[in-house]
Amino acid sequence: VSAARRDELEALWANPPGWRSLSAVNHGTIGLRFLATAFVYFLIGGVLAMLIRAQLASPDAAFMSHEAYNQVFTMHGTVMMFLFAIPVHEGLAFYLLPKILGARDLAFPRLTAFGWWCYLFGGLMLMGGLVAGVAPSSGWFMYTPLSSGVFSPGIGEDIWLLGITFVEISAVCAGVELTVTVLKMRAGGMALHRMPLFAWYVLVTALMIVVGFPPLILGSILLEIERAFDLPFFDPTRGGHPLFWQHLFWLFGHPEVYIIFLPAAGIISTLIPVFARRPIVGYTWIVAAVIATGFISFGLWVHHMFTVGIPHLGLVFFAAASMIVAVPTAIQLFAWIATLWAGRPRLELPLLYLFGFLFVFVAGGLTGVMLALVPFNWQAHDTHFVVAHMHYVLVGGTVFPLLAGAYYWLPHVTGRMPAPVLGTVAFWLIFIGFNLTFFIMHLTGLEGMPRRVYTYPAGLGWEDLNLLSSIGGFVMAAGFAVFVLDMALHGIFGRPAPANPWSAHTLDWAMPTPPPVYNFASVPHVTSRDPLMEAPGLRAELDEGRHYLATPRRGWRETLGVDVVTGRPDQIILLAAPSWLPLWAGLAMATFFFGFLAGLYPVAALGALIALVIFLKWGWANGLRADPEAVPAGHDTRLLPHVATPRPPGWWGLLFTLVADGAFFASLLFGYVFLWVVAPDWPPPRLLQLDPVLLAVTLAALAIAWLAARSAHLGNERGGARDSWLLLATLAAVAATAAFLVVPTRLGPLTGHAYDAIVAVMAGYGAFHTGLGAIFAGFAYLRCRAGFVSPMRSLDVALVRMWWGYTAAVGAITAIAVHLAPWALP
Amino acid sequence: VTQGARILLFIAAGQIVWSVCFVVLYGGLSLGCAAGTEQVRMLGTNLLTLLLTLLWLAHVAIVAWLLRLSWQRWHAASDRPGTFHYRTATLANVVALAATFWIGFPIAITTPCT
Repeated sequence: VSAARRDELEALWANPPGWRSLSAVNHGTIGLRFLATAFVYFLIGGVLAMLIRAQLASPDAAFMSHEAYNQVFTMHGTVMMFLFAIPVHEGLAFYLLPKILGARDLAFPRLTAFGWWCYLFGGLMLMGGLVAGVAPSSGWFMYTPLSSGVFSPGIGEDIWLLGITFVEISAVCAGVELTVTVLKMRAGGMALHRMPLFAWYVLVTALMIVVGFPPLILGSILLEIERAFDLPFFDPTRGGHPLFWQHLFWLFGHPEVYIIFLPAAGIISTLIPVFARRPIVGYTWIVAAVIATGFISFGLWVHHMFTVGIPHLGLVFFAAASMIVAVPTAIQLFAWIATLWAGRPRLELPLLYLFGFLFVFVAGGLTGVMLALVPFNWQAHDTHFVVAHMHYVLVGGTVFPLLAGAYYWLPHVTGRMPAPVLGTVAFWLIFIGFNLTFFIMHLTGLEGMPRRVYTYPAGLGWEDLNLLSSIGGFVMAAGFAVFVLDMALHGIFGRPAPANPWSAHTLDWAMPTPPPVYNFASVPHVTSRDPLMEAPGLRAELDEGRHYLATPRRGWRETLGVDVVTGRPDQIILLAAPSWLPLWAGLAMATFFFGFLAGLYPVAALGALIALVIFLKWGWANGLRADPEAVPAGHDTRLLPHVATPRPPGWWGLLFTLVADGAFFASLLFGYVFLWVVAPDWPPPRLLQLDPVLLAVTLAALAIAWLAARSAHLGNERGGARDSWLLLATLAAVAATAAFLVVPTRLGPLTGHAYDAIVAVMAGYGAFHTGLGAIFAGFAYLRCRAGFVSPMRSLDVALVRMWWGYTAAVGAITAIAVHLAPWALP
Repeated sequence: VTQGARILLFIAAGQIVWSVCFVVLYGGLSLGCAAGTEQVRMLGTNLLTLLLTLLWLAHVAIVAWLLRLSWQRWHAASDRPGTFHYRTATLANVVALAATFWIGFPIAITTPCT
């Protein structure tokens, strides 16, 4: 590409300078912000861990009070799991995915930025609690009744529930965005069978986030409602059940272990072939294993609850699933070993860290199989053995691969090579320190030392082991300090990196380092799974503009959209420019969450309203007011902009958002049935009286809204009636909303029994969706009137149709469950 | 449903059936115990064990059928993408079949509600 064209691309894609860079939406910038923020939280979590080890180093220690200790271990787990382990992988995927797929950005750049603001503000809420001495103290899984208002009356648990929900909004946004990006935004010719393994791992992980996070979001909302308004979802004296919380938490919590592990495994599958100097062995096996792991990991959650009194047969289901999940994990391990075996490995710094992973993770996996055995689990439950297992899996499964990835992609980010000396010293300190710390916890655990005790008396035989464990912890901390020092010195003294310094095979190295903000001067076309192995001169071809979308036009930020399966280019995706809307939306959401935390509910409501207005303005800015023509895209291809195609990224985005919504709804429905069947004092003293008219009105309004939305979409495609159908959908949606809002007025006091509470929440869920459906249909009507919609540009009405297909279905199930289930359930 | 969604769903079909089987068995166990169906004797066992066994075997049969289908399509595939899709589906279905069998066989040898 000529210097002039490169300047043009740079000007088109550049972030605003100075403080205005806060409006940046570029995936590289936001990805690095995620990574930096996560690393800061990691250091904070590490300091908390050192406080724990200082306290436990000797018996009867008075270094911390039990109140402070409870806050410290709760925040250590919370920070490491929610503010480090998940976001760091999101950040890496944000930074890397478009580069490794051959795209110029992610599918929804403003959503990427919004996610970072939610993550930052939610994390700051938790940090604020820590600094103020009012941090949560019920443990990172926040079990009820300990976390209920009765036993934890301060605001610490509210900080956890609201802060984590805020952060999880970011995670669900990431899940949707990464899924759509992998499916639709790849290099030309990158069919599914040519997709880099890292993208497969990210795809499965992102879908797991989409399905796995909503149960905890629901649980957090219900527990916060219980704490704030006394609705008794988890209070067994009023028809609630503490195990309802445990189910919701672990429905999220165990898949989350794999949500953390799988992207790390994606790093491993990317790095091992590079350092083995051959393509990966068993690509198809690995893809199948990753998919299987993603599914089976959802069948393990009760192994955290083996001691709560579930029937033995139920335990056996989960024990069996907990064992068999080792099979697809082992397939991946054997594929990595086979790749090293069949290749010509060169031991460079990233591979050293991968060896650390192999040793530590395999050990953690073996103790995992031990804990899957119910009788052993009963013995080891809530002891330091579990703490040891968990850290072997999590540190082995995610921290070592991340450190390997850090050294591997460092030249990509900074354009400088790492020096092996400090990195090697850091490795051995971390490796030895880690094993000294946590291997010993197996022994203290087997000797009966429970977790979460702030001190222990002398004479139990735990003194020396705990002291060794604490020494190991500080050795590990020293290792991380050396790693930080290495990173800092690298930025100053690292020698400039040559092109593709590791002789990698993937597209992320087919660009200058540090990368330009637009990634590729022309978007690549690939014909192989290892494009740089097959065509070492690819980067030069891309720089010369010989592939797709080399010439900027009309100020559009263009990247290629492809067919999901074949990778055949099928659209040009026009991406958003820098915008302040993500920050404003993040601030509005912060107003909601901080207002709720302070008990200022009108302020919280105002924040939610402002957020809604901002999102509508956000949506209004999309689209074109005239039908575009197909334009040359390179490789003798002419393509339409995405807004004029039937399946643009926005369509896929709503689809996967509704998958997340469906997981939320299924969890709510599960709660309704669970409480009815398992909780004490059911059936409740007073049931909702069956009102056939109200039920009929609800179902009819839902059906009319759905049919009207469908007719608007079909009418638009045929050039027929459209606007009047949208108005009808709006009116029917308002009627359905009113019908749902009537339900809570016919219940008993919502604080009296869990039945009234959960039925009110279900009706609220229905009203929320039908209400939003009214706004969306009205919004689409206005967009039609403003000229954004035509038979060719049909996304607005397609989205309304999809929303109403979902809302009508779940609304009908809700209405039937609320009105008819009392007469069907035992 | 687009072609892409069809192929991705086919690759994941065995795993989806496994997931459904898991939910059906665990949910069926809970509801069956609450309804007292283990107290009803039938064919030398109790009604709940009988129902869960039938449900389990039905899911095993479905996954086995999916495995056979993906195997046939894999060997009939003439191009690289098709081979990849159906081979991946076959491997995922092998794991799904093993997992479906493995989680369910204790039904026949364990009392359900204790």
